[in-house]
Amino acid sequence: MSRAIVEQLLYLMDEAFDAKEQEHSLLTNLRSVPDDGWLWVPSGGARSIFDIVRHVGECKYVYDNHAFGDGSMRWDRPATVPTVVREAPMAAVVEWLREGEHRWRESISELEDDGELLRPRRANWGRDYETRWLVNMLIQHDLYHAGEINHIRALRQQKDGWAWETSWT
Amino acid sequence: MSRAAVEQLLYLMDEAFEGIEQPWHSVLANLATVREDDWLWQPPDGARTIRLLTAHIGAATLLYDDHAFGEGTIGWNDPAGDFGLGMEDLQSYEALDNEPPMAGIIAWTTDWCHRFRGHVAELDDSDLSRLRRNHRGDMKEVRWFIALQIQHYSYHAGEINHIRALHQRNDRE
Repeated sequence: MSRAIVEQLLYLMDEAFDAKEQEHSLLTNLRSVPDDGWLWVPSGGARSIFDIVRHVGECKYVYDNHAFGDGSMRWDRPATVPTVVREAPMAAVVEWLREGEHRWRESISELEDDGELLRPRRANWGRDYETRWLVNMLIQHDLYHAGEINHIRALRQQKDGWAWETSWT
Repeated sequence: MSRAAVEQLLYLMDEAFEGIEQPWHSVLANLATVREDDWLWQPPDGARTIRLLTAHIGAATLLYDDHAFGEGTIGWNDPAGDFGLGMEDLQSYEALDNEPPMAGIIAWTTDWCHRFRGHVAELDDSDLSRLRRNHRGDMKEVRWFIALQIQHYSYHAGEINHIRALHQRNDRE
């Protein structure tokens, strides 16, 4: 009975969510968001950084609830999905996001062997997928939206250069 | 000799770049909805273009491929393989006079991602902890190079999507 692949996926999940030494993780990108960039929407856009974080966080709670819980959280059933309001302070929203990640990570870390990754589990739209499919989904989700957050922040701060270009103004 | 960990990484890498089972967040799926007039567009107060990000993905993959699996000599100031352009030139904010059109740069980037994938596919699990020097001079396990590529693909796919959505005015989750 091996857990080598489970551990590898946990490593990749951690790197996607909060890797302090690399620039692509979700929390790394949130740390550089200024207060006035949190609710700001760029020209031509519809989503703020808050909107994206709320989406990412809700998905963590809902995916965990359907794959490992009772499947009661549904966006079409009011008040069943843990969420945050726009007026909440950024720090409180990040804590809520961390709790969602904690729940999901706990569920994955409790898988007893690598064979569990091939076991079908339910997604919130009612279809079953291999567990590894669901894990991959949320790894990509963190990174993809981290990129979007970075782009919005960069536009807000007028610093859309490469990070290594210290002369960028 | 196990290859279970390698196969798992290949799965994640394929999903992040091509999006075989989950297209939504992959590089190629997000490039598929980019139009010619999106390619060089810069948002207000922005600098980076979809063209720049796409070329950056290809150039970074070339760089990491060389350091993880090759001679480990290529740097950002070197020619971008046999492409006829420099690594740094490819990542310029403005398009170059002599660069290929959108389809050519996407094809070049795709080719390098396939080459990197091919080298990963030749590994077994024991190779993943082998140490290689990255372009900054630090010794890293081979798995580190692969993980970074997976992160890189999804992250820049998100940035590409955001630029495209701003230009096409259909920004949504």
